[in-house]
Amino acid sequence: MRRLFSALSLSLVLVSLALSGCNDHDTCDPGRPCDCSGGHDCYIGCEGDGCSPRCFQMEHCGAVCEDDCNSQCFDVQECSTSCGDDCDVSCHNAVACGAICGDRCNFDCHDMDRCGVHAGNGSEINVHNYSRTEIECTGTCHVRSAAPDACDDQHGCSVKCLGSAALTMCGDGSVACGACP
Amino acid sequence: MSRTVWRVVLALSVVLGSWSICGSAQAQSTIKQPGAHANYVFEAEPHLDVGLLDPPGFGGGTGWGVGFRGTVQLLKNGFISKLNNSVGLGFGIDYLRYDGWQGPRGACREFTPGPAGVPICVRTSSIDHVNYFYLPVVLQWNFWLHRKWSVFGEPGMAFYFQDGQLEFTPFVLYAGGRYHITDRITLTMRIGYPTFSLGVSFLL
Repeated sequence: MRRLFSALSLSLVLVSLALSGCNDHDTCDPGRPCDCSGGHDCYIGCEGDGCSPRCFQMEHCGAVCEDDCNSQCFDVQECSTSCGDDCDVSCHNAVACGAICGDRCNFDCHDMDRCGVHAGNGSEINVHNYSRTEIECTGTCHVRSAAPDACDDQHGCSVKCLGSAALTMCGDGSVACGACP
Repeated sequence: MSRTVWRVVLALSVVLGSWSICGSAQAQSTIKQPGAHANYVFEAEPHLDVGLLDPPGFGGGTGWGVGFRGTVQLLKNGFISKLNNSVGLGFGIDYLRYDGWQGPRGACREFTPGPAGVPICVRTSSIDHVNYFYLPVVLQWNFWLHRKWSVFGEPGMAFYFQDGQLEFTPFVLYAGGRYHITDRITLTMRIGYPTFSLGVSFLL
């Protein structure tokens, strides 16, 4: 009987050991959707170009990716994105959304208490339905704001041109670092 | 992968368990002698834990740990009057350290302040372990099969801590067996969800 019990226990231990070596966690890979939802904190890292991280229904969530990253975040208390060039960053229905992105960044932020982005040259920034927005452009960029219609200090929206491009008020109420499009 | 192995474990346990039970039953069966088991009020059972299945919540992988189960005997003669069975109420605490989170969930290792006061994560890492604490409450239904063997089923529920938060799962289920070293000391094995365990019971 003791042998039998020992055999049973040993079998279970061996199988457990085998299982512990098979940790097949999902990873984020370029070109494949990569979601994080539910719970409290999630920060997604994705190596390589063309990643598509998505965060929703969490407290804090963020993505760190490289070029050509398509990052989405919604129903989250605080979203963050850090990416290289040619990124699309979309945030909505959250408390705060921030991004640091490289050249030719498309940043869209709406239905948010605070939007903030530090964007590279040639970036397009769209914001609406926010309490406060702060935009920093290291080169040229174009900022559109709706509800409020204009991006100015009076409406809680500020644009800083950190490079040599000058701050320009465009005729349609948008703002640019450099020439208006 | 894990489901297949889980089935193998289950099948192995059932086959070996049945074999041992059948063999012993022919010799010194006590299952048809109601009340013919150790007279105890409390079962104290320290044990080792392993979590082979993904736990409730967002943990993932395999978990290892330690725990304790205390069971108060409520009925010396259980729900089936013609069989040697008893009923208890069990409370436990189990600590398990799992491999990480399910999916791509990582942690931020470096924040930098961003515009509008939003911290921006600029460096992440995968999580190499996740700590769980389970607090199960179960109804333990014992069947005292043999002088050396008893088995039990334990349906119940559990609170658990993960990610710094207290959560609740309305369903836990265990099945176990005891090998009686003496009348009051047993080797106790338990399989089920969310944990397996191997320990020693003291029938006090």
